[in-house]
Amino acid sequence: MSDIPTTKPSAIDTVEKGESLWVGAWYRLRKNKMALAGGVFILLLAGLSFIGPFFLESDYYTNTVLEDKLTAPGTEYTLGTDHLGRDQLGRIIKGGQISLLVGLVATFVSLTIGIGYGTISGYFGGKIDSVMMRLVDILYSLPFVIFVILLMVFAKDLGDSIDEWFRARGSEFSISGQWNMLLLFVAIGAVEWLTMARIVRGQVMSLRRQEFIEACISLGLPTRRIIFRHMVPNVLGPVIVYTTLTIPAVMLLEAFLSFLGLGVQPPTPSWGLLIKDGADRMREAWWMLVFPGALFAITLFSFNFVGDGLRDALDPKTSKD
Amino acid sequence: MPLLDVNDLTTYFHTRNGVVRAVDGVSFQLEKGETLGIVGESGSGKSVTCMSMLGLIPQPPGRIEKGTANFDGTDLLHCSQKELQTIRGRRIAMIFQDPMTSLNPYLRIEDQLIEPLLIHGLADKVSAKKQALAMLDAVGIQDAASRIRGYPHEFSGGMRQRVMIAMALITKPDVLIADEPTTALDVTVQAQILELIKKEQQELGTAVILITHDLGVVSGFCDRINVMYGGKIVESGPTKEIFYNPQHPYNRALQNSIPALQAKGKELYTIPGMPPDMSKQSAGCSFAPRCEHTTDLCTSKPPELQDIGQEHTTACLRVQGENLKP
Amino acid sequence: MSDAYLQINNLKTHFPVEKGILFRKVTGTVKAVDGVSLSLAKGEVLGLVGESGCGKSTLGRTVLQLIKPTEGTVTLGSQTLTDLDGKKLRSARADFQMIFQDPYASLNPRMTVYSMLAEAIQAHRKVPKADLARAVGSLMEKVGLAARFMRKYPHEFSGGQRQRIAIARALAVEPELIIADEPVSALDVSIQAQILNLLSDLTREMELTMIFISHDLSVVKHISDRIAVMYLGRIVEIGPAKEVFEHPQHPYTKALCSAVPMPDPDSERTRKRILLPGDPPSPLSPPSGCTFHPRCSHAEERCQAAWPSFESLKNDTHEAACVRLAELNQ
Repeated sequence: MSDIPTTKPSAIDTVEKGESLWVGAWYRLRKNKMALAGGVFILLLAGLSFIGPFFLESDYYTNTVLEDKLTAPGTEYTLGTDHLGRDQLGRIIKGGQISLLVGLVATFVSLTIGIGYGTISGYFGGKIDSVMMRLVDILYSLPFVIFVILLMVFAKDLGDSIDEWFRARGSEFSISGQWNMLLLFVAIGAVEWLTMARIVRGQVMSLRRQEFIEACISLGLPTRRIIFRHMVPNVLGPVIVYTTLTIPAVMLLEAFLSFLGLGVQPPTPSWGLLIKDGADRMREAWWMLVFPGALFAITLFSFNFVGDGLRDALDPKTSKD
Repeated sequence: MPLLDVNDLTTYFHTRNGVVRAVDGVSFQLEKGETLGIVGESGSGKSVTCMSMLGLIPQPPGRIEKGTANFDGTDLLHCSQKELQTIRGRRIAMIFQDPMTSLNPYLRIEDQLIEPLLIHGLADKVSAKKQALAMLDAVGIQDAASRIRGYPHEFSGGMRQRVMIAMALITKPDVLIADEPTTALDVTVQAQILELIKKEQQELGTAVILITHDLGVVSGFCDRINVMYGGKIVESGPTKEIFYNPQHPYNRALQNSIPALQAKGKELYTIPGMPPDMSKQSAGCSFAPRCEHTTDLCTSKPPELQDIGQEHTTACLRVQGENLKP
Repeated sequence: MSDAYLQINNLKTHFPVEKGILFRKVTGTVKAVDGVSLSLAKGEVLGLVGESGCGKSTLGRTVLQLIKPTEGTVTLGSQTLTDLDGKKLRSARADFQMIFQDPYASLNPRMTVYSMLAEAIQAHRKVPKADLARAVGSLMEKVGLAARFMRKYPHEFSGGQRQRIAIARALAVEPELIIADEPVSALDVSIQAQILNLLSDLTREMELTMIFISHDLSVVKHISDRIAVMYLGRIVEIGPAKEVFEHPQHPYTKALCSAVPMPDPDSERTRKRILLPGDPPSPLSPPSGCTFHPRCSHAEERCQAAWPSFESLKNDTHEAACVRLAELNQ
């Protein structure tokens, strides 16, 4: 507590700086070793995945050297090669790119839908909230896997038809590759936003009752301002934490889909595909499973440590005096 | 021989902003059957004092730096956990401020009432249930027989506090520590609860330590009063002395600033300044920055509690030097 | 009364209790405010006293149209507040403001004092950016805070200082009516006096009309011109502050006054305390007739019949709702 006296007037030019709650949270986060380690690892991984390829040859993940197939890790190939003679190191780097990208984009999609949906539902309450949440409940009860399989199958057919349409007109344009990726984002985003909406709604509802929101209404502030200037910044805490924990969940989901053959299509690798190929050849080429698997696990751990660290750091109980 | 003899109790909290000297050398005694009031505002250390005695301070960041608390031969601050557990809840009981959160919402009232008896091996289940029912009746819960199987959320704030009192007194303890027991209650309910504690105290002969910031409550309830400020006891004595012959400037200022005693229309007397920052140690008297009678000596030398007659002690250099004229 | 500045007429706020999952059925009503009529002159301070569940907070919020009343009207000056809605209501809010109880919860923890006060100042007026800092600074000084702390956040202040910020925010829109809902209950005793003095000075200086809600009779006595005592959604007694406090007429008020602990050992030990049996009742199922009769030691058969009308004894301005008023106050 500070010793701020309540006395005489003073010159306005000597305004003292304040310390926002985020500063205190950052301090607490820095003290958390696990969270720091996780954060550093993720940054290194992101650097490697997105910047690294600039230093490699353009076919670093597709170059098939069949004579060298299934070589164990050694001096020539640092992490070995796969069944088509492709360099595992390159494949893992590209896979990292894809997996991280899926994780970030799909989470972003779910965030955007979820925050908007949850805020409206939580702020207005009553019948609007009941209807909106019942919709969420219904969507929640749909079996995810079946939904995605249907979506992907349907989309594949649609993509193929579109490609044919273009080919019939003599164009080389092919939508399939990106189409698939796009749909992956949509499918995952379409499922993850539900939980985000629920979390945001819960936060907004509890904030709604807080007296400072009542004070805003009492001042006659427009609703839009109350929501964006007062509610959202106070909702950010749990949202940030949940986002950091959604990314690994999404990556895992993508791996699962790719494992089933429904996600990223070869030759583009993702960690899920790599793990699938590795699992198929576990006996002859252990390096095909171990390296992608271990890296994937460490990445997931890192995100979780950072998420936990953020939750502890942003805990409102510790930020109040 | 006093029942409870606390000597130089010192509890500090080691936080990232510095060391908070919550309790800074507190000494007092409690006789059998006596009612002692500990009065002070938030941050004065009144709650931490009693919680330190019972080992309820989280360590870290808290730490009992030094001192002894002799209860009937055992030093509470230096005995084993096992010994402390036989005393805590059985011979020294404590009730807290917020009746809404003091009871376990998942257990029936009956189960919570018999727990102290069962844990301390004072009765078997059948006998304990009988005692629980009698106790619930004694604290004034209507229809005790049917309500005893209820859950806390079915009771109002005042009733929950009565249940807490029943739980505390069911083992017939020697000392009852009540930490702001009525602060969260309506004033008419407060009156009921205080009467109840008084009645039970007379029947069982229990000594009571009442911690509160409300001077009105202690004036009608306590035999002796310790006034605390900045982690120290600044004045101590019989209730009448404290109210009719206040010596320490903080005590006087506090009495003066009570709205109830001031005439309407005039501006209320206020104590200038703010409660002290407990993480910064002051060289002299901790009340000096806000005191109207400060001298140079006050900011350099920390005053000790000294006797000024009539079992009345005060920690003010001026008063000790020359009895302060009102 | 024609000279009343704030006129509250038979105000009722009932909350339906609904049960059911999708199609909610109304199974009961919580009658939080059940027919309150008050009139305040401009610049008057009315103290509203009562215990938990009596509806005083709900009354305050209903008057400010933060909760829509079920029945009744509220008129401030020439405006009928209960008729206003939407945009009209929002712009009318500049005339009436609230100071909340919890200084920790009534300020946005992520905004600086400057942001909060600037926002309030600009809520209903246009102030050029260049002048904002000065305006915020002078507002802070008005409530006794040093202007150089305007860039600090709420958690960097103490409880008393936060309450000052809340008061500054309420005053920023230049209101005519202020409803203070237990503004000092969460503060230490020595700070309470500071805030009470501040409110007193400000109301006088700015000619504010104020309803001061509290459960603490002695605090209310100081700052109020008149005191109204509330029980289970209705006013049971109203009169000049000193009068009501020293010569209460209604049995409930008497019990309330006797329950307040006085810091005077001799009188505390000798006084006869009126102890009310049981707990304050729930507004969900209020007793019939005079809602106080189950706990009143002077209750008779006729007390259960109907809610008594207000009667005054010696002083016209001091009235209470009790059928036995005259005989109980010889």
